[in-house]
Formats: sequence, C-alpha cells, structure tokens
Amino acid sequence: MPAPEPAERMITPLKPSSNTTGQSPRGNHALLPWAWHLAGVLSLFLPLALLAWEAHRLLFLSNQHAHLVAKALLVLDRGRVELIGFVYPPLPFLLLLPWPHPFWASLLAALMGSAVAWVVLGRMVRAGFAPWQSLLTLGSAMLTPAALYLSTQALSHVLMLLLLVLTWFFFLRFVRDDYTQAGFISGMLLGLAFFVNHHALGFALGYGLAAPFFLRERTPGRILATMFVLLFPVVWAVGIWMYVNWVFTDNPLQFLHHPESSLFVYGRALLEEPIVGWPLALRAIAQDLLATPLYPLVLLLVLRYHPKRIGVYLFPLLLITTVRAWGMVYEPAFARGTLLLIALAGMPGSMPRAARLWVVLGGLLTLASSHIMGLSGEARAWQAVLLHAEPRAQALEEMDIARYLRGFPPQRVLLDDRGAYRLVARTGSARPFLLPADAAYPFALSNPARFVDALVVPTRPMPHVGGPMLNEFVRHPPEGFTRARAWPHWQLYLRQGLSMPTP
Amino acid sequence: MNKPTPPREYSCPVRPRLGEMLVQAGLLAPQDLERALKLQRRTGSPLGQILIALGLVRRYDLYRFLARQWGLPFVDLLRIRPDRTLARRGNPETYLRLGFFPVERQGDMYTIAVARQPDSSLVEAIRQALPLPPHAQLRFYVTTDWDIEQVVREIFHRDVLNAAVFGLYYRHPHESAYTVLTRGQFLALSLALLLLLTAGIWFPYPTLLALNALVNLAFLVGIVFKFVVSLAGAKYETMEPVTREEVASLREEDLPRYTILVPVYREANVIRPLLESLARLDYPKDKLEILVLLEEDDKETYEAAKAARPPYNVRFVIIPDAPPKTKPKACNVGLFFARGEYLVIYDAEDRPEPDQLKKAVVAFRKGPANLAVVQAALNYYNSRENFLTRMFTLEYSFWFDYMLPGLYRLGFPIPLGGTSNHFRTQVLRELGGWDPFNVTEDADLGIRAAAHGYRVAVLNSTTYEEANSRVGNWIRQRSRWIKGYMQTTLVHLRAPMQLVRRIGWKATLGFLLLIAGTPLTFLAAPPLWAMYVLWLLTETRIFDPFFPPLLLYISLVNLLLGNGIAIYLNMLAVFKRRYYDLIPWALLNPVYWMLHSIAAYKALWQLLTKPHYWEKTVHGISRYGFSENRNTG
Repeated sequence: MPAPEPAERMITPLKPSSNTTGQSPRGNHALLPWAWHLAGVLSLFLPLALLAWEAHRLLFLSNQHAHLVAKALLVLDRGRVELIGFVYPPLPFLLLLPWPHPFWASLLAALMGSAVAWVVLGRMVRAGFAPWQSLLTLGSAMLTPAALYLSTQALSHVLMLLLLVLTWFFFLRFVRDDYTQAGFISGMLLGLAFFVNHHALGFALGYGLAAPFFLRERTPGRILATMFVLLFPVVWAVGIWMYVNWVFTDNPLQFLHHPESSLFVYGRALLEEPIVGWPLALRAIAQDLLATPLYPLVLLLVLRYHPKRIGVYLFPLLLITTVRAWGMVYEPAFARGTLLLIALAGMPGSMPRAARLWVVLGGLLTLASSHIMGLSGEARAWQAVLLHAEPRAQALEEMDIARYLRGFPPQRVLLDDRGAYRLVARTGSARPFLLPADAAYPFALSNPARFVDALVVPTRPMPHVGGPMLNEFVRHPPEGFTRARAWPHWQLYLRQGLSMPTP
Repeated sequence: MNKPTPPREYSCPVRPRLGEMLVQAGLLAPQDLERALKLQRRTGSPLGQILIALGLVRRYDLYRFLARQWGLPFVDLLRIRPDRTLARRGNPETYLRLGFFPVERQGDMYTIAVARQPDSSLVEAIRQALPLPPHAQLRFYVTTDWDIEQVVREIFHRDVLNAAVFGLYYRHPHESAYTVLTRGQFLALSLALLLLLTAGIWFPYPTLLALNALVNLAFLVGIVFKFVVSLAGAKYETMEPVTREEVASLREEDLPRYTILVPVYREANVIRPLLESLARLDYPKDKLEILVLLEEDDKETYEAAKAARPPYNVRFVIIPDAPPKTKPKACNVGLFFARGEYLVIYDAEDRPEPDQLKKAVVAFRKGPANLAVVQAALNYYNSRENFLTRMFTLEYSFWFDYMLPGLYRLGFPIPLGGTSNHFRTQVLRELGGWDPFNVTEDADLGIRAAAHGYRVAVLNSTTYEEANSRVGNWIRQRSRWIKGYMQTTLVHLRAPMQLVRRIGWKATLGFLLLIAGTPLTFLAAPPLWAMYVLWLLTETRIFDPFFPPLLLYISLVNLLLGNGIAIYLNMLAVFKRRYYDLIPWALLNPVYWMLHSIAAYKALWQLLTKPHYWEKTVHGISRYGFSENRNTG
C-alpha cells in the first residue's frame, strides 16, 4: 500500500475573491507563513517589552494590573476560580493565572499591543501604502502616550483592542468575501471580547448594524442572518455571564449594577473627576479627538471615498460618548487608543496616493498632538515615572508594606482587597490575607482578635470600598490591637503581644 | 437445445458493420444510428452498448446481430439448461466479469456462451477459470449479458446469498458484527459492571464522584474534539476538492463504467421520481449501470418499477428473501453483479446533483492511490416541512459540511453516510463489501477502509434526500444508527491494540470520540439533565459533594460553552448553505438532542435483544417534492 498522501494534494484553492484593493486578503494571508507573523509581532514586541521592563524596574504598577494580579493570586491560593468575582470580565484574570506577576501582565499587554500593530501594518501594506508610509504612520501611532500606556499597563484594554481589530478584518472577509468561517471567527472573537470588556456588547451591535453596508447580497434574509451570526456569540456570552452570576451570587445582573462593576470602577480609580452626563462626555470626547487628529482626518477620507459607510466609521465615537454620558467608564487612554485604531483599520481600502500621504501626515500630527495634550490620572503618573526615571513615593510605600506582610502566616492579616488590591499584588501572594472572598471575613471583621493577627487599613476612609466597620478602624484600632506601623496611605494594626514579623 | 452449426474455436472474418445490419433489418432508424455513432465518437463506447443504453435496440436483437457479425450462433441461455456441474467448476463472479458461461461438455468439446466477441485472451481466461485440460476444445455461442446474469443468479442463487450474507464473516470474522460481543469483550464488560456495582455499594460517594468526573471529562474532550474538527472543516470552504473546470475538462471517452446501486424496499411510490432523478445525472448512459435492488417479497415495488418502464441501463436485481433482511445484504448482492469500475449507492428518495459522478471520477483520479471512497454531502429537500426536518437539516449541514471535511483534513477515519458514497469497486470487493449484520454498515465500512490503509475523502457535491418528518419514524431511524455505532465500536475494539497499530493513536482517538462517543453522549445526557432540572427546581444541595470546584468548572464549560458552540456551528452550517430562515431554529437543538437520547436508549435495548434487526425507515412520506423546496444556494 503506498503511503497516504497529504490531504492538500486533493484540494484546489478557490479562485481568490478581491477586496477593495483588488488583492486577495485570503491569498495574502495564505502566503505569509506563521513564522513571518511571529517574527513581525516579536520585532514590535521587543521595544514595548523593554518599556514595560523599565516601568517595572521603576516600580510602576497600574491599578488595572494590580487588580488583575491580586485576583489571580487569590484564585491560585484558594483554588477557586469564582473568587475573581463577577463584577469584572474574567478573561484578563485567567490570562494571569500561569504567572500572577505585574511584569507578566505588562509583557502580555506588550504582546497584545504588538499584535495589534502588526495587524494594522499588514492592513496598511495591503491598502497600498508604501513601506515607509506604513511604518511612519504606525510608528507615530504607536509612540503616542495612549498607545504606549495601553500596550504596557492596560492588559484588559489592549486585549480588547486586539479582539476588536481582528474581528474587523474577519468581519470584512465574512460580509464582503462571503466567507462563513470568517463570520464564525468574528462572532467568536466578539463573544470572547465580552469576557474582556463589557463594552464589547456595544461594539458587537455596531458590527451587526454595519453588516448591511458591506454585504454584496442585500436581501432582508441575508442581512438578518448575517447579523444573527455576528451577534449570537456575544449574546450567548452575556447569557453565560448572567447565568454564572446567578449561580454564584443569586444575582444575574450583578455585573451591570453592582457599585464595583468594571463598567464604573476604573473611572473612579483612574480619573481625577468622573465623566458623567452629556456635557462632560462631549468635552471629554473633544479632548480625545484633539489628541488623535488622525481620526477626523480619516473621517474626511471616508466621506470622500465611502460616504455611505460614514455611520459605521462614526459608531465607535458615538458609543464612547454615549457610555460616558450614561455614567460608564471609557478611560481617555482607552478612548484614544480605540479612535486611533479605528482610524488606521477603518480607512478606505482604495485611496489615491495623495490621500495616503494625508494619512501619513495625520499620523505625525497625532503623535505631536497626543504629546501636547498629554494623558490624565494614572497614565500621567506613568509618564512622569518614565520621564524622571524615579519611582513614585506611593510605590515605595507599597513595597515597604508588602515586605512586612509577606512574613505573616496564612490568612492572619485582615485586609479589604477592594481597596487594598495593590498591596496584595505587591505582596506577591494572597496567602497571608483574610479577604472579603473568604467565608470567615465578616466574622473576622466583627471580632478581629479572634481570627487574625493583623489588620491593614487606610489612613483615610475610602467611601466607595470596604464596609463601615473597616472604615471605622481607620480612626482607631479594633479591640486587642495596636497600631504597629503607619505609612502615608496605610497603617498596620497588630494584635497586642505580637511583634512585627521581620521583613 | 436448438443446435446451430458448430463454429470455429476462434475466427475473425471480415465483419459487416453492426449499425448497417440493424438498419437493413429494420430494427434501427438511420437517423438513430447517426445519433448513436455521434455519441460513440464522443464516449468511445461500443456501439451496441450505446444502442441499448439509448433504448434504440432491444438487447436480445442486438446480440442476435452481434452473433451474426461475429459469425457465431446465437443461443437463448434461459431456454436451455446449462450443465450445472460444469458451471460450478468456475466462479460466478468471473462469469459476470468476463461475460461468458459454460453451457455443456461433450467429450473434449466445451460449449461456452459468450456476451462478447471471443478472442485469445478470453479463451485463455476461460481455460483458467473452469479450469480446462490442454486438449479441451471450445465452441462458442453468443448470448446476452443479461442472460448470463440470470443464469448465474439461478444456478448460484445460494452462493450469491451466502456471499452477500456471510462473505465478510467467512473472510474476516473479526470484522463482522455477526458476533455482537466476543468472549473477551463480554468478560471485560461484565467485570467492569461488577466492579462498578461493588464500588457503588461499598464506596458510593467516591464511585459516583468518579463516574461524574468521567462523564464530564468525556463530554469536555468530545466538545473540544468536535470544535477542532469543525474548525478544520470550516476551512474547507476556501478549498474545492473538485472544480467545475476539472469536471468540464473530462473527456467522455475517458470516463469509466459506473455502477449505481439503489436498494429499495416497500417504496413503490418513489420509484418513478427516482428514475427521473437518475436520468438527470450528467454521465454517458452507456457507461452507467443502474442496479435497482428489489427484495423478493416486495412485489408491489417490483411491479411499480416495471411499470415505470426504466431505460435499458437500469436492471432489477432481486434480492433473495432470507435473513438478515438488511440494506447491506441487498447491496452485497448488487456488488456481486456490478460491472462498473466505480460504484455508488443512492437511496430511493435521493436526488444527487447532476455532475456528482463526474466529480467523483475526478476526485479518484487526482486523489492518492489508496483513496478508496469519496463521500458526497447529504442534505434535504424537504427541510421546511416541520420542526423535525428543520433540525435534521441543521444537523446534516453541520455534519457533512463541517465535520466530515474536518475529519478528512485532520486525517481521522470517516464514517460514511448512508448514501452517495462512491467506491472503487475492486477495493470494495477486497474489503469484503458491507457487513449485513451491522445496521450502520456505511459507518463501519469507512472505519474498515481506514483500518486496511485506505483513505476516505469528501466530495463537494450534494445529494438531496427526504428528511424524516415523523417522530416515530425518526426515532426508528436514529435508534438504528446509534445501534450501528455501538456495533461498529464493539467490532473495531475487539483488538484495540491492533486497531492502534493499523490506524495510529490519533485516528483511534478520533474513532473513539466519534463512533463510541456519540452513543455514550446520548446515553449519559438524560441523567445529567435530570440532575440539572432537579437542582433548578428545588435548589437542592445534594449534588454539591459530587461537584468539587474543578468538576464544577468543567460541567459549567460543558453546559454553557459546549452547548453554545454546538448551536452556533449549526447556525453557521445552514448559513453556509444559505438556509437563512433555519438559523434561529438552531436554538432548539437541545430539544432535538433529547430525541437522540430516547433513540439511544432504544438502540441500547435493541443491541441487547435484537442486535441485527434493521429498523426500516419509511420514505416517500414527505408532503414536499424535490423541486418545491430545494434551496441549493
């Protein structure tokens, strides 16, 4: 019997279908081996990883990463995945389970960021941009503070952007090239995106509404079917999340209206003042647009070359403004990253040379403008740390506290990680802590001396987190405890008669 | 016997032209001859074959004139009584293949009826086949190929039946489902059951926990497997195993002879549409042999078939009335009489796409040398009839458009679908044909082919069938399929290590997950559903100990992701076929899966009580015709 031949021998590729540039995206992708993609992503990853390393060396830890790391540490220590809670999308936490460390979070973010850049670069080359034009535009975009911050300090956001941009290209292959597998992948990516960021639901709606503008066959049946295929996974994902919420908390909608929901909490932690209401939302989006002039420039190009698709292009802008007006969070860096990505990925595929030069110019303008406009809140602090090559005082304080906390036996330090997650992340283990996720926490809160050896409480009350009792301890230690040590933001109460563990 | 003048053993006189002879005799109109000659130039087939296929000349008349052309006497083989003892010296398959039959012996003179012009190679073959001593002399008479077939059927009636029923069992008993459980399997299963019961009595909690873990893990692995295979299958969309250009470039004269087997039983109402549908096939009629396999006791269908006045390339093969009364047995009889280089099976209600045979020829020619079978996709023309037909269409679209291409791409063995499997006839004979004791003989044959080192490929052509539209009928059909999967599992796991050696670890795993996993999934699902519903209704905590964290996560993944992905893949499959209105119906898949479980329990019961019983599916009950509802996209 002759040796079986590879299956491919029997297979003849279909004739390539054309995209707007007259090239075949399928064909091009097929020609690029995985090694090429990997090399491309890695070449973009290296500088980002170096930047991440520098920030890590300077002890910078973003709130988002601190929160992810703290939860991942808790899950690993207690052995129950549900302890990540249900008010945040779970996927970023799960990605950190193999190595719950701040640097790993940054490395992953850098990897996602470089993948986004590589995908966009490929798109620009296919759209007819000369290599220098592509590199210059992409380089300008990547060097904006928002892009660098997202690519090193905001794993959830950059992962979301990666999923959105991948969805976009598969979406195009689905609706334009009539390629069902691409529909499957784009649907799955959108479903997955919901487990990264709940705004994915809004973006999925956008994709669904955009479909008719790209379909070749525009019968009602085809349009509805396309929307169904695109939206089913994300709706199913919402259903899954509601079900899981219900199973573990009895409240299927907890992720939507819980005061600590991810839709709201990051705003409080990261923004100097929360954006709520239309006037503030419009002001914020105007600032974002000023920081990313490429977006309005590409808007003009879309108006010129694909005027019917202008609504599709504007949808993300409307979405960001609306969610902010409704009181949900869409951080400035994330918003600017999103707009930049939409501009680069959503520009018309077939443009004359002059228009492409405008895009390059828009990229350079964006680089300049973004640095002039700067970032706010934590992102600004990140910039400062890197520019001055000096750790923040808060970071030094956290590291100091963490050194002490590591020495406690398991679950002997009462701590509310809703406010003190940075300390858990800095400690590198959730083992020493008795946390709200633990069944004994409420009992320990009412009678700490019976359950724990120490308490870590803030020096000032944190109205949004922790119960009234914990905030009560801010003013004085519970019975049987004395204040063993104090830092500017935190204080450590130790059970009377115990000595401080050696750091 | 009316003895004509004894002819020479072999001669080659100057031959008058057959067509002219027939025209002169008034048996053929000149314009019909012209038409046939034109066709002959295109297809390269013998003129006689073309004339019969087109119905321009009766077979009997043709052979009479061929006899005259060859300078041999003609004999009506059915009127004389061939010497049975002499006939039994040879093999009936050889008689059919070479087109001769021994009639009588007088001393050293052997009389042979032939349906082809005798030449030295035929003479040599006859001498070897009978076998004849060197001094034996031959004289030839001409008869029709049909007569030879009839005589073979009459004289070798019992042999044909035996070969059809026990052929595989005699040749490869370990590959036949005649024995349901081998002694080793019986002992192993009994021991496992006993151990489980003992453990359940003595250590109820760990046993139930382990069982729960096993079931949930199996579900998870099954989900991952199907997901991966579907992804690989989905990629097939960008590939076209056979292109239109390749089909168009086929030269009719190069096309091989093709046999179509159509087993029918109590389906008088579908005979006429069947013949109409087969007439639509784009394949030279003279190279197409259609064997309608009719059961001996089914007079009604036989009468309907005769009344339909089928074309001359359609022949009826009567299947002897003997147990087991199964489709594979009928097919084996058909295989015995098949003369095509390739062979395909269609059910009576099938509507293959016209170019399917040509596509199969291309697939075989460009495929590897060990390609034994190509499977065309199946789908339904009455998909919109009711809930059941919609769900069946979703299922088949997924199975044939995602799963089978995925299995092929990943190198897993492919369980063949019931119809539209195209074989290299010779390989099919080598494999022993179908197992008449296996009620999914098709799936079994696909696995057996893989075990013998052959490949099964998929073809980008669709045959439209009638979806089962009644619940009872559906359960009968599905229980047979699931029982067949159980039989196939038991057959191929008689020597598990041997299976691994023959097809490799990966393919064995695929076999286990697909063939063994399917019945097990449907059997295991109801207890899990019952637990779930009880928990939903009462919020009882009694199941908590059986779901430690890891197991709980796995079961949640199975419940939420597994079901979601299965539903989504079904949606995409019908989207690909442009059955847009069926997409929302995929949401009702869980209801459909419950029916599967009912069928699975029935199948298990039948495996224990009536393992070889063939649950006949009633066809021709759809209110929809082929043309009314087909949506080929």
